[in-house]
Amino acid sequence: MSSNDIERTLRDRLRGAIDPMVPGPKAADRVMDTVAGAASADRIRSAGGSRISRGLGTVLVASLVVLLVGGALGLSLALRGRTLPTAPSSHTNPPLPVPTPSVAPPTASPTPSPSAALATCRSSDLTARFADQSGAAGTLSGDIVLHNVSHTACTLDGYTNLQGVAHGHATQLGVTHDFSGIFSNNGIPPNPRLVTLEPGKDAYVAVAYSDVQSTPTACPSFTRLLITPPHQATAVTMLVPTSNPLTLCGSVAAAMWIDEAPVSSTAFFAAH
Amino acid sequence: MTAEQRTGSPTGIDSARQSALADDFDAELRPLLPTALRLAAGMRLDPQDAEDAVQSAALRAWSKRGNRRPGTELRPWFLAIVANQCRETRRARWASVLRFSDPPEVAVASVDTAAAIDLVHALRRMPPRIRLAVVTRYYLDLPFEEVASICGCSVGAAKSRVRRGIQSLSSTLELEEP
Repeated sequence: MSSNDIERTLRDRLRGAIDPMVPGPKAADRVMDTVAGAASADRIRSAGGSRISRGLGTVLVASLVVLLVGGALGLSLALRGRTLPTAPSSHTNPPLPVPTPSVAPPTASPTPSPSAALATCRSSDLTARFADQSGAAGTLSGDIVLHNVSHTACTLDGYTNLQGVAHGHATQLGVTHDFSGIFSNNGIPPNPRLVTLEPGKDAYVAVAYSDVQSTPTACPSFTRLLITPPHQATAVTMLVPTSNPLTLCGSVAAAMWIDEAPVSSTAFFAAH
Repeated sequence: MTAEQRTGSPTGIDSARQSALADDFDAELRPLLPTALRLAAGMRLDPQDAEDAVQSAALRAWSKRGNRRPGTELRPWFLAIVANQCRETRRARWASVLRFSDPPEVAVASVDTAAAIDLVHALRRMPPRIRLAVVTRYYLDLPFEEVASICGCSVGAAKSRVRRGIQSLSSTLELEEP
């Protein structure tokens, strides 16, 4: 067998063996969607984050999401259909109980610091409101403001868990931690830090999500958000203006995608 | 502190400029994706792994696009990133269970001939750098110069790797060298 024959045989056999394992034609579209999502996130960052930019949420379908939202999706399945007691819709309400998740929301290890001697902020110590929410279609963003209404200082560290409430039903949202990269600095995601919250002071959770509908099914809208602080089992209720409900159309693994940064002592979007 | 300072975005580049750069990159990248997916399929020997690797590589290429030397062709640069991504991809078991709601379609469900299965097994046993050389040379039909560029080695080393690959496949393919 000549060298040419060997090479021809090898080419034919490789095609026969590998061709069936080449992803289908839609794979290229999905890859391009992912790149478009990264480009959109870049534009949001350069624009200061609080402005509207189209196209991010509908296209972020990268494999990394599996690592980030897997736990949240499992929780979503467990909680879907659960009816909450009819609670007054004020952000000064006492915290609503939420079930202990079978898969705990990811939280970071506390960073050792002198503040570690302080108690962790309980849900009853906090109220929540949404600041700097963008109001047009596209990728929306804003800061959730956690206000310490107690008389003592406390600490927060890590990520909150987020659930949406619509028609009395709480639904676990597809929470990711800086999946879009919007909160990163030079590509480095923000590290969870121990935040000391003095009485009367605020801490912030930056969030971003998409309200661009990409499927025939209507996107879910929520008029309340249940925010479970790190290491807590109960949630703080946050009102969302009915004129501008939280509509989540992100197509990352499932609808109801929302990206968040760890709790911070400074507002992310207001600072830009 | 401005947003650009905080995020590390290049200062002085406005949104419209970024958008134009993104469009240029997209236009250059899209025609390469079929080749990239074939390369990843040859390296990972699994359609889902292959798509994951190309997606990660595309994101990496996007974030590193500023590192590309002016005048450098995108194809070998991007395919080298894909090859590196294929080597680095190590999927956890649960990651293979929790997939997208719309699973990627596959052209053909599985390899269905004994000979093809034998060849796939032989490729799996091959060291990744040898497999990369064989796949780029004989599956993608690339010239040795480009094989070398993707492998990150000299042309001579690329030829040597291809030769070793053929030797290791010769028994599986029942090839008789001259």
